[in-house]
Amino acid sequence: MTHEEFRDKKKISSEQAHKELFEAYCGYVYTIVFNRLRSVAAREDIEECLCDVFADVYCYYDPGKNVSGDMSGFIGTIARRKAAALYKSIISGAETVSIDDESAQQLISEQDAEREAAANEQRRIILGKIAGLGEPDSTIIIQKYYYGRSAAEIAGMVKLTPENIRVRSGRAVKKLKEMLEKEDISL
Amino acid sequence: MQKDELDLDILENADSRTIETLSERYSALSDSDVSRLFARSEELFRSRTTEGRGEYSTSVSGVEIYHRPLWQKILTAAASMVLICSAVAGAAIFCKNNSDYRIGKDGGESSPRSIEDYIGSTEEIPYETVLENGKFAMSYDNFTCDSNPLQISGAPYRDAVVAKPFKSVLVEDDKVVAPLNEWEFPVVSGGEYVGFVNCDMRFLMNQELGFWGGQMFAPKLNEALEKGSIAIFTTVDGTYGIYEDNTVVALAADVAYSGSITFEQVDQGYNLLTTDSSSDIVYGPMSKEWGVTLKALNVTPTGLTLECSQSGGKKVHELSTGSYFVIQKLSGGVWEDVEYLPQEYEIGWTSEAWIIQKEATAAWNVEWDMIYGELPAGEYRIGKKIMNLRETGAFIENYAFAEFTVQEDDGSAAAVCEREPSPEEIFENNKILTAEEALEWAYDNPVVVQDDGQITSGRDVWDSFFDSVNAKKPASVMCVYNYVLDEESVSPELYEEEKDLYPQLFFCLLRYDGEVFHVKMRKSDETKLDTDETYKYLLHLSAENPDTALYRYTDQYVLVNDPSVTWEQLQRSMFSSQSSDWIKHSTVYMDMYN
Repeated sequence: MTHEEFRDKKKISSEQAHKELFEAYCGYVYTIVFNRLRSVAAREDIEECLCDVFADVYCYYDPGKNVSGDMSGFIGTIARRKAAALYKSIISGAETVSIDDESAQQLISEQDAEREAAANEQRRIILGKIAGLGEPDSTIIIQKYYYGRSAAEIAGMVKLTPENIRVRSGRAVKKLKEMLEKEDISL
Repeated sequence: MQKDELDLDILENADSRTIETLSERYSALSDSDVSRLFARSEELFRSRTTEGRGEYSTSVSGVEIYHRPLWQKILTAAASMVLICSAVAGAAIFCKNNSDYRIGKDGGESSPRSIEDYIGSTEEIPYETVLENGKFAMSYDNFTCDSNPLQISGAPYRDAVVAKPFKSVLVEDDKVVAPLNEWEFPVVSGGEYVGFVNCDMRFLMNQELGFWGGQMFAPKLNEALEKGSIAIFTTVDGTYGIYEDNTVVALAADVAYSGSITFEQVDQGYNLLTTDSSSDIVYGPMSKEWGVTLKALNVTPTGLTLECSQSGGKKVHELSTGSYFVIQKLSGGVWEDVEYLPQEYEIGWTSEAWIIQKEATAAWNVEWDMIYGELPAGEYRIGKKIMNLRETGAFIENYAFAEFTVQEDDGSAAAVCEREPSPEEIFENNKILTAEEALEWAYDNPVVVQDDGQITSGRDVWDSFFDSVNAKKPASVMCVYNYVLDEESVSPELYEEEKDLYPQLFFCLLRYDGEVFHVKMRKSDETKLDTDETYKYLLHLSAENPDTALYRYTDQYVLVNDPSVTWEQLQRSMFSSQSSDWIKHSTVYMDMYN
């Protein structure tokens, strides 16, 4: 959805515009927020953060501003800031952190940057190999081992029984590990 | 870490490219999550705007309530009902307050909008395509499901069918301005309109159709059509019908129509409803059209055996059904849902989908004593939802029913359904199981399991069977043979070609009637018999394998018609290219051990 489309729809019905915006970007925002908070926050907190992001997007969005094009940059920025702020508040135990706090933005050193670049490359290989498992196995792996969903939840997504999911996931893990070993990656 | 575990922590706190890849390839949220979380985001948004927090005041000051009931009514209805439709997937139902709908101002002045703004896309999607949209099935489900989420009078309507849809036309200043690009599918039960499922093609959401529906003006439409056919039109004040004599009836409008438009102007064909339009069914008891027939067998007051067969039919894709069923009782000529027993917890239906094989018959036991208790004598029917899945997200669901009678209980039959089906019943009733399910079942039952060339369970079951055979006593035994495809033992090309066909599991039912052996085999997920043969003898052959073999001994039981046949002859029979060497036989049990 572009800024123009959202602005036009919002003129007719705010809620309809919000709904369309939410449906278009909720997966993207959830991925950003989950990626940052996966290890420190409960699923409920991650979901609340996602809703918080969208409530902010609806509030901050100024239909009078003459901006155009894709909205993902604008939404992604709010999502990253919200997630970083929540991450910091959980880690530090602080009640609230301003999302405009500069410290919410992480500064990385040169060595960190090199390490990060290597990690990014490894992530790309891993995601490539997971995709190489084919469907539904790649979805099963990501939903089970990354998003932490139960076999019953995944079963609903890929139209298989929970028993199928358990059997397939075991095999898929084995196959994935073999594929990654050839790339010298051990998970 | 265990072998089957996987640590994907490395994907955390990743760069934008990784996040985009994850986001594009994998759905992070289910449909029901989306509905639920959207509601929460709106709640947060409203709480912030109504609390009047300073940081948001700028963004809300440019919005005011702008009363423009003309097309806005249509839009608000659409928006709120889309949410109700989503509620079927498990989210809460929203009661929308129309005053929340606002039209913004540009530059401080209200900007009159052209009709085109409200017409939206004029591209029509054939209603036949709409019928195959998964959201249509969910919307239809609002009329048939127990929870009656739209609070429609008299619902659930298990027999509900959908009549051919119509479109309204937009009328302004006594002229037809444009068609309203929205299919209105009338939902019909017992020949009467009971509500509508609407498909909005004007404002596609993420290229997806918008669905909404409800009882709406169905009662008024029934009343109006008693007097004759009408053409439907929509104005600033609502929706009306016009008769051929140009009299107008308000269907969904607070005020009477005051213009002078004529029937001839309004009637476009696609918006004409005749007195018998409700009998032009486009979506209904499709299970019959799909060739699905349900039959109730072995009826007791607490259960029955349900036989499901499929034969012929039109537009049959992949048919399946789940665990859910409903029991209805015939009362005064009307089928009424039997009430559930009081439950401590909400009844949870498991989510498996059983494939209904084409041109085949399957049967399974249904027990309802936990849900309905013991049914008193009477005429009943059991309803199963049948899904016809064309592709993911494109399916039609409909009920199929089997009628049955519960006789006065003499106390003798009820016990029949209380036990698990025997292995023989699993085979004979054509129970469909995936290889994984069948293997799991086999390990829990008195069945011989041969997994990957070895007997892994049920040696005692086999020995008992063989003892009976030696004593010339009739006996039967069920064996299952599980086959997996080992990637390393086949070529990569063959593996790619075959991998989706495995694992495969075969059921083998071997019966000895005291004289001859009858052997039947079928794949666990098919009803078609792979083998159906009779033999005179069951030979027990043992062999010592070469030193290079993985296992030293092979123990084999083979059905033959010539008792003098040897191990070597059978081996030659199997591997010879000469057809004259073939000896008819069937290996029913083979074990390898050291």
